[in-house]
Amino acid sequence: MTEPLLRLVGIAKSFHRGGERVAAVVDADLHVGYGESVALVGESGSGKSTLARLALGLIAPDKGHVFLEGCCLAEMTPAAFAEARTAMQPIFQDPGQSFNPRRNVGEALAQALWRIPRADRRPRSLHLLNRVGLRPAETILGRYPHELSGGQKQRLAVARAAAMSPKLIVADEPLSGADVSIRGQMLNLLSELRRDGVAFLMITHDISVARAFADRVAVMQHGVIVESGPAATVLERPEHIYTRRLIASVPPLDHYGSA
Amino acid sequence: MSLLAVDRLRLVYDSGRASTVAVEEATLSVAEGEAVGLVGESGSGKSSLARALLGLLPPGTGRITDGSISIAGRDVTRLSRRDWEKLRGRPMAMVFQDPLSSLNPVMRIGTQIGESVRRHDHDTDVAKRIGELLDLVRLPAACAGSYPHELSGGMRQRALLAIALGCRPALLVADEPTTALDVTTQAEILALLRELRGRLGMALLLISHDLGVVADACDRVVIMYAGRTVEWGNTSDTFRQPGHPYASALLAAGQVLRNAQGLFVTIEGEVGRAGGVGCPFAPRCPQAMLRCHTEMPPAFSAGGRGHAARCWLLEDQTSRAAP
Repeated sequence: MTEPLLRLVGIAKSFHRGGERVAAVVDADLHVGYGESVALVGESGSGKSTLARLALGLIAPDKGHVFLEGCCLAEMTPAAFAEARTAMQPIFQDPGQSFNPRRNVGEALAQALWRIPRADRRPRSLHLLNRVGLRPAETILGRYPHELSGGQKQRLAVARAAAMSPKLIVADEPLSGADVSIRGQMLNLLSELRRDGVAFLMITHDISVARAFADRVAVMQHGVIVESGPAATVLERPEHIYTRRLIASVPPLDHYGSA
Repeated sequence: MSLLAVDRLRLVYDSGRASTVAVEEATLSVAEGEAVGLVGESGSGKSSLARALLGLLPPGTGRITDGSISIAGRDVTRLSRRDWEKLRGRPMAMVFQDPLSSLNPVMRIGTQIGESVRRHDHDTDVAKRIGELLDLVRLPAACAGSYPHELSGGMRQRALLAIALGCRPALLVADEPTTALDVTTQAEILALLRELRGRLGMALLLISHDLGVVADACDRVVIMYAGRTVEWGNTSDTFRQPGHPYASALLAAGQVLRNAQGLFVTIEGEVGRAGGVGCPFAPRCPQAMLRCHTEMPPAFSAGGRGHAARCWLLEDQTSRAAP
């Protein structure tokens, strides 16, 4: 088997809470291939966000290993680790909290573009803003986060993640703050990055988003990945009782015809 | 007679010298025993409307400038705070999105339910009634002795329901009651609401951004956009054959559908704001005509009985509908 882009092997992580240890992730195995899109589905407290942070190397596992392109994050030199962190870009749920309020859009993007020559940063920023539909880009460059709407901030988060030409984007509930009518805009943006070959690990509680966006789906409950496989198989013919319950709980809309 | 009738309500918030329109010409009604869903995205004015019809507008900043609200035949548009107090709980009770901020953190659940029981039923056996109410919302009797922080999110929402039901309301107003909950818990609460309606004959006004939740729980639906009620009708008519382009786009977006080009269905632009000229959806509407930008359409029939939408596209097909 060829080595996947990201591979989590036997990962476990627990936290101290009120004098006892609470297991957040228990012996999880997960992989994301090059250009592949994997959705991690589960309810709050299932450990899916912890798993995302472990994959990004933001926290270290108690047990197990995270491999990026075959190299273990824990055994990397600081330089290699910095490289890995560039190759994996996060997008978080609340775009309002992931920007420095005292930096304008141009400064935020320039910071993300620190590795390219200074003179190239502005044209590259303009290109990125145009790509995510933040126009006119020249005006947007001077704006501060509080001057942007929620939807615009989310686009900016995508632009910033794309700035580093990552191999993998780890998106933790990127759509849950968005209104239904603009959710499609965000999904189209992410799909465009997928066409460029970027792989995705998308954490979501929304089954319909997983169904629409993912090649493979992993379902988490109480820190355990209880089922995983091709999206069509897991979501249309779920084997685990929890997956079935999760799918049955979503009030269906699709028996209504629509435009 | 409607239990609740809102007629062409206009509501503004004052801040300093500026005032912002939050709700304009909003019209809706809830009959006895009926479940009505009020759907809208953020900024659509659905929560402002809910606050207005519960008499909970922030004093000094939020005010009704036009239209009327009546509850059980009584005009409550300009009611004083003291008179509102008499209406709360019975005939109308409410539950909100975040039960933790509605519950008193230092008071046991049983005591909080007891407060609402005592308020309306003076001669009743309060302890017995608390037991009945906990049973009604499927909470174990031991929860009477618990504090809110000891309960899970779903249990807190049940406790809040027990408090609301303690008043024996004819109408329950629920503002995003399941939004903060996980889907499996949400399904339980929705099932409970359905069961309670059946057993108690209570009417429900369910405010939600989630079309699936409304489709699941409501007989009729009212869709709001930028402060206006733009479409209303029986849930299956409205969702099967939406009359307003906004409603059809919202439904498609809610199902995460793709179009012929393989792109996800979306509505271009940002969610509109209340208080402009013409149809508020016109700037985002793929079918907008010149007239849409200057003139707000009246309600036209959209097919089924009582199904209507405020869109010029329906003008040629039908006659004007009663609001």
